[in-house]
Amino acid sequence: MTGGIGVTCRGLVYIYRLEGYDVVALAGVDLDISPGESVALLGPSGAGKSTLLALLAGLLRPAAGRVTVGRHDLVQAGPAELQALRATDVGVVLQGAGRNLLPYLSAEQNVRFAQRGAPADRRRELPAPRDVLAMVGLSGRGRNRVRPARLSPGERQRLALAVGLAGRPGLLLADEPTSQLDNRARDEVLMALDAVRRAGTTVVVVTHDPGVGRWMGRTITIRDGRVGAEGRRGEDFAVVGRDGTVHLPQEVLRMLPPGTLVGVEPQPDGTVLLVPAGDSSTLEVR
Amino acid sequence: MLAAWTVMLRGIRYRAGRSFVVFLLATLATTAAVLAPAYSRAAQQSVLADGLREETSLIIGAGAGSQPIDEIRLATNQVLAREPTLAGRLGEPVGAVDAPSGIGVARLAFREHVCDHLDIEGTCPAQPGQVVLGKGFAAAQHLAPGSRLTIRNKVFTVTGLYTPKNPHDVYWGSTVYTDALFTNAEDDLRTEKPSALNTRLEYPLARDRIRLDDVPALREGIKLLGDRLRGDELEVTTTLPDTLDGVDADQRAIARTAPVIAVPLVLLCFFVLFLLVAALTEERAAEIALAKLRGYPTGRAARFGLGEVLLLIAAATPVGLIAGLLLVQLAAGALLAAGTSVEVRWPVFAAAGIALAAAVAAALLAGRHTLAQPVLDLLRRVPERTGWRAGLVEGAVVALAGAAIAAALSDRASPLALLAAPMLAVVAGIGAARLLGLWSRARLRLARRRGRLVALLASAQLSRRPGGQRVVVVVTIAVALLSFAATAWDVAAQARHDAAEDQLGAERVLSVTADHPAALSAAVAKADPAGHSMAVVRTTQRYGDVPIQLLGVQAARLPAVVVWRGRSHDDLGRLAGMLHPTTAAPLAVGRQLSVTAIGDALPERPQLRLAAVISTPGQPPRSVDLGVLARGVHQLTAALPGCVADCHLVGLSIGRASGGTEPFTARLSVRGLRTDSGPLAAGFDQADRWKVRGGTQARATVHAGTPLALDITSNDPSDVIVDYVDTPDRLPAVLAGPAPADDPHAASFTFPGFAEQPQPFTVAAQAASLPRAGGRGLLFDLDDAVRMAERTSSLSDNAALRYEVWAGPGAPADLDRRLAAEGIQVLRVETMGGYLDQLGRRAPALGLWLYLLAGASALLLAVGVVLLTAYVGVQGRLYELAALRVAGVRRSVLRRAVFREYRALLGLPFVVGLAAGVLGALVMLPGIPLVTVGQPTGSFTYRPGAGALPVAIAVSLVGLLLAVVLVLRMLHRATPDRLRDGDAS
Repeated sequence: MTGGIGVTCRGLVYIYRLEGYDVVALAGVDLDISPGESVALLGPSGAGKSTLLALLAGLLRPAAGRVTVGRHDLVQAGPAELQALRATDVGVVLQGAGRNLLPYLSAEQNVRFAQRGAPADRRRELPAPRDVLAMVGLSGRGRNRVRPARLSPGERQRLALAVGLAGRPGLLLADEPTSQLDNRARDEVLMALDAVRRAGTTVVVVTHDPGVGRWMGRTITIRDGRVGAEGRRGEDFAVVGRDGTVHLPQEVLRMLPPGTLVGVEPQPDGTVLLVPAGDSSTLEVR
Repeated sequence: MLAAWTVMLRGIRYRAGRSFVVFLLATLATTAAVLAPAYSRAAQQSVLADGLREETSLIIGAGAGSQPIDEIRLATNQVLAREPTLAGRLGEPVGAVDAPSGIGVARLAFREHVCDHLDIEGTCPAQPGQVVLGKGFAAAQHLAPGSRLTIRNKVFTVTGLYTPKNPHDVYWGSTVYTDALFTNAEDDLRTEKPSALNTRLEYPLARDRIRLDDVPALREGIKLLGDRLRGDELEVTTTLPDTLDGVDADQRAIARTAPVIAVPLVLLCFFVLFLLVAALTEERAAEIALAKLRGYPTGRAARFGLGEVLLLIAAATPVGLIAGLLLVQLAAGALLAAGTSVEVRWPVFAAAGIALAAAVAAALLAGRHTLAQPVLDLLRRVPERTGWRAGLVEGAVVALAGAAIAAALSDRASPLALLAAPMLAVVAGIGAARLLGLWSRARLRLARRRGRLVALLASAQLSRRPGGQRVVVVVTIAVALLSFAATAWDVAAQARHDAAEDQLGAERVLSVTADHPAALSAAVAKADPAGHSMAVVRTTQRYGDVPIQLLGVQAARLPAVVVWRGRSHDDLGRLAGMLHPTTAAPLAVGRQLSVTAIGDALPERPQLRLAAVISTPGQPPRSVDLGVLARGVHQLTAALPGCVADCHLVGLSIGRASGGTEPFTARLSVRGLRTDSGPLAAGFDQADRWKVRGGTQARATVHAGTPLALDITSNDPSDVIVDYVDTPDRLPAVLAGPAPADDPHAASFTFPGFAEQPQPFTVAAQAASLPRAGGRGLLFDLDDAVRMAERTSSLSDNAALRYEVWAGPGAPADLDRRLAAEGIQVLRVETMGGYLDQLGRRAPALGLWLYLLAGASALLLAVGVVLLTAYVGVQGRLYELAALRVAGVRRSVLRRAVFREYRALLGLPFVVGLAAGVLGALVMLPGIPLVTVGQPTGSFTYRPGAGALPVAIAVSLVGLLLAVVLVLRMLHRATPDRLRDGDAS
């Protein structure tokens, strides 16, 4: 595997233009992911997680802001550069294992199919499909010659991962890799992701499962099209945006619902007090 | 290694059903393209073969008759050596010479190798001065083997009696030998004056060897042969160039119309292929998205997306080519003239090549939209609507159709008229698709309001996907094409039947030879005593430059025999009565005639004599002298040589015994007439039974009574003839067209009859046309016409008379054999079935067969489209249905919803297509020749009934229902298991 590649987003905006109205999916995302890091994108449905993933994969072009994947400026990149990006640097795993696979090819053939996107000279340097499959735990018992329909759901998801890794990308983007899997299958997938991470590949996963988030190490919560919170080593933090906005956790929002006027009073000990106007209760923020 | 081929082949195998349908449709497209040139060629060959059927030989004749056969052969061979095509299409020549024998109509004849083709009782003539005779002739002349007879001052010995082994053998060529006296020595005829001889070399035409490519060389060869041999005072006689000209019109019609008929089918095939490739590529959107997601360059992604289809199209091309050729071969065996087969020539390969190129182009165009879409759009579940571009295309198609229809209506005879019907079908299809869209959206709103689940599910599907509208367009066009073709076929079949009835006049018509009309009538009476066939004698007279057909028929047999369009059996019965009014029975006389005469007042001078005017069928009327009239009662008797049973007394003649011109006045009476069998019922007391014949300046009055009294005052040198009236005064006739007289509406007129002398006619009835005689003619009773004619002349000398026997359904099957036994030679037999077969192989019918084939193929295409549209996206549909089942919707509700959806999807285009097809036919058909090339049909009557249209409707319904059943079975697999993996694709 090549070394992981980093991701940088500054003020990323994406707007869906629907019939008669526009939907702002991302309203200015600032994000830094270091090479080799494993990140889980969390958030409610419609928060913009999958949109962010699609932008990182070069499948969508942002309406505003900048996004850099490795040395590629995706805003400036043309179609050919984006195609080359997906062939060599970025691997994508779509939601639903079956959507990543050709049902009439065996596991090994699916990996080989994915590798054919790379230029011929680069293709020669790619690992053998068996090795890619072995990395995600699909080896032995002839599993590499079996068609996806004959694999278990967990094996199928791991195969989807393998296909995403076929081109030895520096960045792996996976959308809901553990959805609709039982605990055992989920753990298999997580172990596979761990192997990928240990190999140095940067991994970004979209998930609804906080457990997967904790497992990944760093979580980024997307809320209302912005980065609302981050979690590191099991601890959640609100993120102060570049414009000074802070996404309050849910329990605080229940105390200070949207629209509440609060006074912000920095304290000498470094904490910040949020004092609702006309209310004696205070909220201390450290 | 994973080669692109491996992925392609595995994909084809994975989508076996859809791949098979694509392969089938591509095959059908190639077959349709190949059909036009292959069928055209075969149909043209068939028309040529049919046209040549009556051609028998090419005759090289010595005009002056002096050249021996060998000299003619030498001269001809020298020319034929330079015309290999013509020489190769001629059989071995037969030399023949004949001349009148002086014995009746018999001819002395020499024909090379004649004994090989005769069954001879006795021996074949081996030396000069020997002949063989026909058995009938020998019996009539009381001759037998060993007899001697003098033929034109030369004595011949009869060595045998013959019957032809096969009178229709190609050996006999176009020569009809009636009572030929065959000698085996050409020199037996060379003693005759050259001008009396008919010397010729007959080359039988090898019809089965004549192909289309030979025609120009044959024309050229015949022209050259005629030009070269003219210098040797030889003439080439053949109707082949005229026949080829006649065939040429049909061939040109086929060459013009077959491609035009095939064009709608070919375009429909490519349109369907376009739709299917678009749908299939759309279905593979997710796979194409994967390829792009993995960084496949545009070209490689396109090859991945379209490779399977292109491979199938390429594989289908040779199969379609072979299928097209096989189909034409089958059609040739079933529809075309015997011996016609498909010819594999370059236009066929060119058509297949063009079909392949067009299919590839259609596939590339069809897949372009999907292949150009970005990855995320490809991963969407619901395909985008086509939007304004589809409307633009539809508008262009409707405008084009309108232009084609307008052009066709202004000139219905143009080939464009054949395109108007499919254009109308296209417009109908687009209209039906739009209508279905509007209807389904309205039904959806209504179903939502009323909470009707089945209607809601069905309408939602119909209004949601553009694929449904494509199905409507294709099914409408297919049903319209098929119903147009079927309607046209039914109308044409009826037109052919009407034409056959008009042309033939009876179930079977035998063209025969006969000595004279009475001989034919007698032979028919013996051959078919039950009266299901009748003797017919016909000739043509001219009024100005207009030919008028004269038909003498046995009126009493008319109802049982004649097929006369628009006239029922009862009509024919009434007509028969009008044509043959009751008249006096002929006075048949035997070997002698006695007249009891009373000379009431006779002049002293000149002496007057009484004669009997005797008519013998086939012979000129003769006057038999009975004797000199005397005062008082006396009996005059005379022998009637040659009268056995068929002589008639047609009148009595009173004239000067010694000739001269001396005027006289006389009064005499006739009390009785007697022949050897007894007294004759002469009807003396009947008014107008005996009448003075006109054309004399004598004044004569007949007083009816017993006895019959005659007052005569004459200064005319000719005899006064008193006719026994056993025929109508004026011959009743059915008139077709205007009367051949100054007044076209005249009810009575005089016009030459069989005797070529003015014949008084009266119009008994009018008709638009006469059977077998067309729109200008006269039809009358044969017996009356013959008796009237034979008062003044012999009909056996009239070479212009043509003899036929018309047979009805009840006539004996071996009528020709029975007639032959009565001495009537059958030259040709035409049957209603045979004529209909011939018409069925003329250019219009052949074109309509192709149209039917095209219509049937279009229906197959439509069924294929229905199935494939259901196959494509079936996974998504099954997923939806499974989700609905999990949500609590019962299976029976889903089944009813699917059925209702397809009922609308297929029912509307079926009805619209049927209406468009039938309407298009009724509008377009008057401008299209349906029976023979040249004349458009004009008005026609369409009688719905058993025919191609009900079959087409039934087949269409069955095909579409079958498609629905298969779809329902396919969707039966919508079980909740499908919801695993969240995988709807």
